[in-house]
Amino acid sequence: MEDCNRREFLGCLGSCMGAFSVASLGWFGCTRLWANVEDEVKWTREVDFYDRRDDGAVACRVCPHRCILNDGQTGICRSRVNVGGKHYSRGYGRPCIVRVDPVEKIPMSHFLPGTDTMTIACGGCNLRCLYCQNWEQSQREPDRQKSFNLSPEAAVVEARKRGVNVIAFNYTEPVAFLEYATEVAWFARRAEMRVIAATAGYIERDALLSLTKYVDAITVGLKGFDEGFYSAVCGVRLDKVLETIATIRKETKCWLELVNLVVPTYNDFPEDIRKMAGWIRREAGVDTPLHFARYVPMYRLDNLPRTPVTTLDAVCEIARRVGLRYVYTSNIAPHDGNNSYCTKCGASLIQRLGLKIIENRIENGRCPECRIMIPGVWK
Amino acid sequence: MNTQRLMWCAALIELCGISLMVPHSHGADVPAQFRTSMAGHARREKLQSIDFILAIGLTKDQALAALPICEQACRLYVDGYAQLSKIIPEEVKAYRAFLQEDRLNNGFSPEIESRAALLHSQAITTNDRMAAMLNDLAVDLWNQLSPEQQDFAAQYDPHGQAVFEKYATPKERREAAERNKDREKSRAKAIRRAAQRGERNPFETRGDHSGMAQAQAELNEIMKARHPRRDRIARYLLSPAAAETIWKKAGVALPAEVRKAVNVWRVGTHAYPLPQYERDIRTKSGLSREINNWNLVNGMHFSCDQIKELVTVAEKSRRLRIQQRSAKPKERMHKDDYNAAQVQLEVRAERILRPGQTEVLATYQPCLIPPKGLRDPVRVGQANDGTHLERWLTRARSLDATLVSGTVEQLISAETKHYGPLDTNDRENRKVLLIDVVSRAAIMSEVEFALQKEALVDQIQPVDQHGKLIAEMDRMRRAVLQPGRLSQMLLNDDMVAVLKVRYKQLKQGTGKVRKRRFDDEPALLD
Repeated sequence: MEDCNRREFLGCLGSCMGAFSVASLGWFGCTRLWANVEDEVKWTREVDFYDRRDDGAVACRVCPHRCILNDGQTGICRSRVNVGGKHYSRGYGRPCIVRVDPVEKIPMSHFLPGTDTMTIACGGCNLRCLYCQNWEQSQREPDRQKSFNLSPEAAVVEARKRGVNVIAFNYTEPVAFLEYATEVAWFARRAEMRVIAATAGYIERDALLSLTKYVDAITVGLKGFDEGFYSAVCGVRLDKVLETIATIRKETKCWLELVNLVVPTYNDFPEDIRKMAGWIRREAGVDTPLHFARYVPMYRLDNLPRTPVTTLDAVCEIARRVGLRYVYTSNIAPHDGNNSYCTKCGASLIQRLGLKIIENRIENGRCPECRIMIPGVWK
Repeated sequence: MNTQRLMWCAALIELCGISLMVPHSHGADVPAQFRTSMAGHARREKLQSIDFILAIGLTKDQALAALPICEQACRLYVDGYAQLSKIIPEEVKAYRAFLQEDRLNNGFSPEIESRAALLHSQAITTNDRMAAMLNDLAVDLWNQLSPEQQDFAAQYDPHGQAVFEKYATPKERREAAERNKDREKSRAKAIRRAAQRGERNPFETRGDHSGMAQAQAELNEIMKARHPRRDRIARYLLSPAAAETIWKKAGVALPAEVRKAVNVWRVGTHAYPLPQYERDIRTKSGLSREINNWNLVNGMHFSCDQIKELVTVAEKSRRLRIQQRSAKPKERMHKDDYNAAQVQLEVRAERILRPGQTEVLATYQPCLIPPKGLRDPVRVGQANDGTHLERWLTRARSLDATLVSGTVEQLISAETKHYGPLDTNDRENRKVLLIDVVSRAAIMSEVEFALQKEALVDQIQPVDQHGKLIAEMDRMRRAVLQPGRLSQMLLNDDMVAVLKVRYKQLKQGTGKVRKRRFDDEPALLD
């Protein structure tokens, strides 16, 4: 055996260790990759609304962004991807939030008050709201956040097991996981359960109608009434959202409620509120509940203060003057704007403390005092 | 320079005053009226300490043995004062800034909120730590006392009968007896007069108050567990106020370090004179009261009409209080009638509130930083990460089984500090329950846990003994027609001013809102 000096020995040791590290890293990477691929395949489903193009790209038809994606590209919603010329939903069967919440949290005031819902949300959103309060979920790809493995059928079974009869899609945008939401809603309908969706309403008509077929109630977030605000702060167009609201009201049987987050100095201009209330009155009807929610500094607009209570009171007053009958305030409690009153006799119908029902006096959908029908779904 | 001169003058006067009053002989030289006629907390503390030392009959040997402990206590006092002298002026500033934002009710700037919270907690921790350390030292001193001395020390009250009985002179006793006789006579006269007029006995109060006293005692225990208080030995023997007397009793000259502590206790330090300390403490407590009132008003979201009505009721209640306080004893309302009138006003105020507001008021506890639920209710459409117990359970279920017991112990200790002490049995039961719930949570699938988390947390929710006792006392007060929480919270003297300011703010509204031109601004999304 040849003698080797210290330098040669150390060099040899170093190369051995290097080789070993490269080999182990390679092995670890392969197994991780394999695990990822397996995971991807497990819950990935082809999108319903898209066109294939000759060049291998796909043209998404789910929302008005109409993304055209080359192979490997992901859409604005962060959840749909072109894999080998086919359009897949990554959020399918991979909710990042599954929890039981009261229906009031959607918000929804005239739909089974006090009922528990199993709320499901998957990662991704086709909007870019600068004040998003769930940005950690909505502004990340579904596979880049902690998520559950829950098939549509299993979601319904889990809800049933816990005696929950309403499934809701809230917190993130159901448009981003439309395929999953539609299938969950289909299973829920089969199991005679109710389904609620909370959306920003930036969706194409066909996609919307495919979802609303199995949905009982929808809350649309009408974020403002100014095209400039919509495009600058939310990254989408107002006219498309208005179209969605009008479609839901005119072409579906879903119960509709609207919510507007009042962001100080951004969308609290009285004239815009007046216009918005007027439009709602014309297109959605005076009985459509409208919630004005208090803004709390969030995400990229955390330099603003909370919405002053006086502003909330003022915008509610404007909406009422325009003729809307059911105007509520959210994210502020206890406040008179949380409560429901009969529009005819003024009797108290539902007393709320934030999301909690303190007293519900509605009897078979009627006012206990003057017996007029109160619009909504009460049983 | 002038301030310093003034400070030393004040110190000199103080020293002279005190040295004039310090008795050099036996306890009989300390007249009882000294205790009541003293002005200033330093004199009062000193006299109480002398009173205590004489009352328990501390011997020379005991005093000698106590010297090292007292010296250590004096060092602690100087350290504590030095720490507080840094915290309190800053705390006052932080409270002022906090109050300004609280008045506007648009939320708090993170820096202002965290600064106020930090300084508040620093001040509390310093006081708590001082009290705990002095109490530890007091245990050593306690062990040196004879059983009789211990017995007397345990029931010592500077204004109580026990002290008087122990060492009042025959003359003092005679005078006190005379005074009592006169009082008895005037009481009998008042009762007769009331009977002739067909009125009730003015010295009798209706209802059974024993329940309330018991609940109050339990509440005190909980508060003591949250923030330790100096016990009697620590208060009267381990304070610099007692140093001169103890050293004199031991026949030893006062060491320099103790002398320094006594000086700090009398006049404060150069950097932070005592008058300034006292002024700051007063300002701080005033600010705390005001912040507390604003927190409540902010959390209740009153409408203009409600405020108008509440101000009317609160003003009536205040007038009644002033009338009762300033009236001559003969013209004063009977205590029960006065309470009944206040309760009537309380009921009137209660009717003004909506059910949600009543519920908030029932659980409201005075605070500096309003609780999360009060200032920021769970928001619609927000995926919050749940309560602290939900987060704790999520963390605990992922822990190795061997570590669960430790984290459970930690949680129980933290809860005990907040909700009140648990006896051994209750502690053990709670531990078993928590370990059971954690082990059940650990074997659940992720989805199952996500859906059952809230139900599991409901099972391990600790009993809020403090809140329960407060609610119970409120019910008992109402039963014996005594004003309760609503009077304390909404009809107190300072509330009227707060409500008036809020009314103005609501009436003024937000003013004109200028439309934001998004076209003129650079793209926000970029």
